[in-house]
Amino acid sequence: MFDKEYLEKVKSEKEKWEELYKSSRERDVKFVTDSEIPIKQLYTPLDIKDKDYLSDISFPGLAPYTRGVYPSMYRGRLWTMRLFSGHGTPEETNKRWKFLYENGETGFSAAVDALTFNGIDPTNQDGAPEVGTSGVPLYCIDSLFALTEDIPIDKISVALVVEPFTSAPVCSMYFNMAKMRGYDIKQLMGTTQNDILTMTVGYIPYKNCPPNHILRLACDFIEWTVAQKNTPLWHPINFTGYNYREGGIDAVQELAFVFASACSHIDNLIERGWKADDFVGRLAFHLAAHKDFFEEIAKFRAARRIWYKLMKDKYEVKNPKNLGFRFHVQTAGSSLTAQSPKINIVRTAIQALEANLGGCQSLHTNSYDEAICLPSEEAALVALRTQQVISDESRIHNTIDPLAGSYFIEWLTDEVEDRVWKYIDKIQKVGAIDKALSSGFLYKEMRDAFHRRRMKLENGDEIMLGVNKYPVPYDTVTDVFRTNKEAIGIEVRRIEKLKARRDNAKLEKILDKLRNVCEKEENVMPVVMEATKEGATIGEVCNIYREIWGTWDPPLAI
Amino acid sequence: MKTEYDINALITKFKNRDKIALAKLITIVENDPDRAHEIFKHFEDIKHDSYIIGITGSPGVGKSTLTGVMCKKLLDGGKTIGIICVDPTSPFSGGAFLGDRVRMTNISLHPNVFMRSLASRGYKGGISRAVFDISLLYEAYGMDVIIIETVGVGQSEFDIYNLAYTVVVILVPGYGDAIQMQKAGLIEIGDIYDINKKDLGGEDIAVQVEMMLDDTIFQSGWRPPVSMTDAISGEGVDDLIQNIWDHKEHIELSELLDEKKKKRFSYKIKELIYSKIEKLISENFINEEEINEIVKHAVEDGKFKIYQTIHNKFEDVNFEIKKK
Amino acid sequence: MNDRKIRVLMSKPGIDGHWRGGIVVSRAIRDAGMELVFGGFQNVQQIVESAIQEDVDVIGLSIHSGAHFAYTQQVIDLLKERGVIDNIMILVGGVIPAKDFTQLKEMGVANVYGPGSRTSDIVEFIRQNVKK
Repeated sequence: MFDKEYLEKVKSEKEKWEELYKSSRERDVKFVTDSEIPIKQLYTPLDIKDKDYLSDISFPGLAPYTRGVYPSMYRGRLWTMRLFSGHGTPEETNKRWKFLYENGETGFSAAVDALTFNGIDPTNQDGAPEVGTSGVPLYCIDSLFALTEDIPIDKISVALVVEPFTSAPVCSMYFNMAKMRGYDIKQLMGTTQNDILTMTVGYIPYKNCPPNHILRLACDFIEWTVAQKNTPLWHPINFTGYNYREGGIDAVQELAFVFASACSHIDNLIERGWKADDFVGRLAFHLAAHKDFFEEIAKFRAARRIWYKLMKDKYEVKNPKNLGFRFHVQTAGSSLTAQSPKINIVRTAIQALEANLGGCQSLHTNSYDEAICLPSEEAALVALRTQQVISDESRIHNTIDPLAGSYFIEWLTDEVEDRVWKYIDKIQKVGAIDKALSSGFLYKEMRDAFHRRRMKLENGDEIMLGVNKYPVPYDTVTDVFRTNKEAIGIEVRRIEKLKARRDNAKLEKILDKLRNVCEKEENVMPVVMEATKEGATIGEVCNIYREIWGTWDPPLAI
Repeated sequence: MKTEYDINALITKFKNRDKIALAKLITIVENDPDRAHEIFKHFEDIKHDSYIIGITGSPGVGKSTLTGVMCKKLLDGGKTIGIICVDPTSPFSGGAFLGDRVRMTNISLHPNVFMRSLASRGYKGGISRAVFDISLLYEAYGMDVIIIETVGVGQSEFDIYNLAYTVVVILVPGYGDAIQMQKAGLIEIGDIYDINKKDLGGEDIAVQVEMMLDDTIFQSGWRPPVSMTDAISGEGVDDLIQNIWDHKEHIELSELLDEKKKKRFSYKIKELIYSKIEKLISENFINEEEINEIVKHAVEDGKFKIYQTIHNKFEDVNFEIKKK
Repeated sequence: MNDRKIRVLMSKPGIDGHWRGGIVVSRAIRDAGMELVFGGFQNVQQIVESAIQEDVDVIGLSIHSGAHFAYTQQVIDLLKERGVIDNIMILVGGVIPAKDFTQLKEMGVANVYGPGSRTSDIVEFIRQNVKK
């Protein structure tokens, strides 16, 4: 971007400056990014001398999308403010959603409880004490009616955060509910997380099925919703780097996990006879905004470029609409502390700013009490207001991608991109994502990353205020939000009522059909749609998966 | 720590089939082998007719998962089972991570099964010193079947051959080819071979094993069968169990079983004698301190001396056994 | 000869998949020279049965689901019913609000470890307090 002669001049001036630098003080800390990329004292035109503006950076809404997926970005439309939210019962969650909506939230996201995640009914004693404790229980179609009561789901998008093992039952309950309410599901907007890695390396799954079947379930859902156009506006999958990033991997690994996983899904659908252009435009992503301010911004910019190259070069995608990397961001839960929780508001604000400067489409900001409990109403409102301070007060959106052209940001974007490509290769050498799981490779990577981070915290290379610097006692002041203790009883009764009402003989036949479909490894969605419409519970559907495909315990990487 | 036990009270409870008492007796024989005779004098009339199966194979082949699935089927068939799973003790910390139970959660509440995880505690041979004693306790408890799962480090897994009547060697595709197996000596100790995780492409390794078996002479007249399983779906497990019963029948008919029982006792007798001798020597003749002294003078005046020192030390003495 | 080792059972009561904390503590316990029986997901009956069969000195319950009172109480009740409570020390760790520590201790838990706890403190506590 600069002529040679000028660069020579910069170079010689820089050498002079370096002498000055050497004669001044440098603090005794490691100048590296969170993912261990060494950082120089200063970046200059020399660091981006080989870049071509038009082909490497270009304009928002144009390839390679470094500066954003839409031409007008936030000047056209702000990001969706979407707080991941759910607790107790569907009714209580509905109340919280409305509260946030009235306060300016622009999208919903259902945080479900551990039973919903794992396809377990509340009548199963193993998990009963966890009904509603870590999210909203969604066990049958009646729960979905209660969750969305008086909410205009035709106008506002809803994210259902369930993973492949339960995406068919929970989302089919949602689609059936919408139909019964008179909505055209072809017009419904929303997202299903449906991410194979979340319930394998992010959390440890409880009696789920082996990875090859989970991968197929994820792809069944993409196929039925988008490729077969049953719900063409729905985002059938949200590759959730956030969830494994929280387990300790770095920004580079986060993107590589996400892209390696996405490729395996695309390959699966291509094997089924679809073309990439039939569905890739609706694939969505969910990334973390972590502690390292500039590295995270560079990561978001690099992600758009990598996705564009993958789609264009590897999958030969033709439609330009299918080349854009659209993503939701969540600020980093693992950066929060239970010690001095109010400091979490500051951490979250900085991370939210990363997401906005990185051009996210949707954002969740954490509540300051999340290291201790599910968010209280007050804490959730502070989190929402944090986004609104940025959107309504900061004026950072006057221009698009304001950091572009920074020597450092452009250099770091390239550096992150290079490292991600190498790491994608490393994963793909092991095989498709289900093999990378069942072989234990990803578990080993997760374990190693976690212990690296732990060591950094122990030796002070990574700081957590209140924990390893200026330590304070574990907080006893902040109010603890408690989920409804009566939730177990309420949910058991909800299912009893449903079972009394439904046609059990008819349902049995549908479930037999599902057994058959599972055995033949056909797409489960059509039958699961029928089953949940007739009142099948999440446990009844998932137990058939377990019966036919067996359950799987992940490799134990200690 | 719970070091003081009333052995007589435990034995009474044990004879009423109390699992807590069984667990405590195991703790005693594991921690304090010198007290084993106090326990086993109560069990002189037990029958040694539990059938002992050894499960071995490298780490990661799915030994525990497969053991769990096999046990489920045996329990469904009405058998009572005692399981012993051995994991390695870290030579540095002395600690151990015993991770086998997590693969057998689904059988852990069955009234007819008892499972104990053991750390090898420095004992070589892929098991732990307490394994034999625990198998005796299981026999006294009346278990139909005893399953011993070894540490699984390949080369050193031979002790299981002395303790179990049927040894199952588990392999998986992609883990070491035939040459690796031969190096590991696995081809000599298996009565049965099983290729687990067959979905990862077990055909190749099955062919390799068969070819190797073709080149081996089996004096007992038993050619080890090769089964293929998928522990997750349970596929092939019935075949594996059938192979075990076939082998049992073979060694019963050919009277090899009695020989194996003798071998099992002889293994323990030798172990007891050698550990007594070791103790006598270390208490009366040469202790850790003296060994350290020899180490200190291992190289003196530029000369390496340990062979000569030990030779001299033993040459000049005559051991005489005197009773107290 | 007495080759006594402290034995610890580490369990995840229920179905919540946040295992990392329990694994980190398990490693630390192993590295401190103790024998760690890893139970993974276990229901209350399985936890108590494992503790009995493995004859452990300590049960560690790793709970991140907010259901710590319910699970801990159930484990303690069953240990009492089986008559083994006196020989076993119970520790609870995970996302446990500091406000809940006292109540858990009143229930019979020896100590509670919230976010930011040091593994060395846990190991030291076990060494000092395993029931004699």
